[in-house]
Amino acid sequence: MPVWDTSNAKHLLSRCLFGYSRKDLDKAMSYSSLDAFVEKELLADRTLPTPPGVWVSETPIANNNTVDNDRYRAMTYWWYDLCWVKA
Amino acid sequence: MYIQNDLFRRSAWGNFKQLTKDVTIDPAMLIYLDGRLSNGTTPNENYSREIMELFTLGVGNYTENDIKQAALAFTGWQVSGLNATFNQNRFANVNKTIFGKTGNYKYGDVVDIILEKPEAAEFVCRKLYKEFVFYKANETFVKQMADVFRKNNYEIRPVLKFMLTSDEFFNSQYKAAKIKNPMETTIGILKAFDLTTADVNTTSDWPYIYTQTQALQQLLFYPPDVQGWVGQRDWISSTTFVLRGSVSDYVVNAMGNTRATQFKLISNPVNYARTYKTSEDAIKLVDDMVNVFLQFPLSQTKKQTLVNTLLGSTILANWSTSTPGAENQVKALLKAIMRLPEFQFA
Repeated sequence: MPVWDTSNAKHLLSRCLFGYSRKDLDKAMSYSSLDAFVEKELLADRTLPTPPGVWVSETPIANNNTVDNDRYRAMTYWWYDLCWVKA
Repeated sequence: MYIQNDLFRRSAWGNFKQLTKDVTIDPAMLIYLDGRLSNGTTPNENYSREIMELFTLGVGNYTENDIKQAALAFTGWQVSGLNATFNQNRFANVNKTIFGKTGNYKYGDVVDIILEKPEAAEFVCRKLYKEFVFYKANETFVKQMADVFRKNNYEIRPVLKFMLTSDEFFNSQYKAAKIKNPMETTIGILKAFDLTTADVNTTSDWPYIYTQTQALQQLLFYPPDVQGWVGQRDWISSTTFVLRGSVSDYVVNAMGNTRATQFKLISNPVNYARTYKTSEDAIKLVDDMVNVFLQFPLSQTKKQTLVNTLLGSTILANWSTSTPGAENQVKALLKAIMRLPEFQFA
């Protein structure tokens, strides 16, 4: 099992998250081993995020460019938000 | 596309067989690869070809006849509103012969048959390896991953755990050997400045990230083709390399700027520097900031250049975040760090 030190933790976070903060690194290092961090944090079950809008269950309408563009933006921004590990 | 993304989020740590079956009749996939237009009389081979070539087996591990026969088994599915619907009248209700097996197969049977082939587990694990470890696969290790994958009946979580806790993953040769994609680059900059989603303004900051990542060649949910983004060196061109630098400059310029139109909640540069315990020691501060922003080890010469950038016209002994002009010196340092080629690596 690889050692759980800052160098390895940085490598793991930089490959598995979309960037990371110093807090993320501190949190990772608070685990006693790589195994514990991967199991209890990185690959732990997560609740699904709230959808970007009620429109996700509405039937799309053809030739509806403005609405489609707005929804596309909303979904993209929703995805950006999800790049942060929720506390 | 939301439904497809939701499927990926639900299935990410689930079973790959099930995910492959689900994505086969996912409405977005039925539209993108023309499954909805396919029927028993005129089967469309697009999805059948891509599932074998790009998603599960790779070129050389199937024949044209396998594609034609599998295309028949995929027929019958259409899209109605947001739902995939099965229309028996459009289904090729005949025997198909795929990889030497014959039966009146439906889509799920084809997925099972494909994934029984040993090449499939290796193909999928090679993709995981190239995404997370290194862009050139170590075939010996890929075989070990495939073994774990098969033994766990294509459950995704155990093979991820095997990969992410292996000596191979942490091999020093692979550290900082991945070129960050535009999302990793831009979101990564915000995180390095301790910004959280609560500090981001949806109506001003996200449109900026959207426009920049588009210019950097990554529009989410709009991959360039069915193969997806190529990644690695493909991210860097004479245009995008310069643009990456201007994005990081732009974020730094918002620091302490009351008239900034984006990233209004980013720290001012001196306050940010003071979040480092070493803020009053120029050499140590550079070291610590480099550690936050870079994965790639920096040469002593380059570190010295950064120290000189921070100091400007001040001498080392006089450095303090309280000296007049310190704001601009910290900003110059942060820009210089993110302008380094080393900053492009994850």
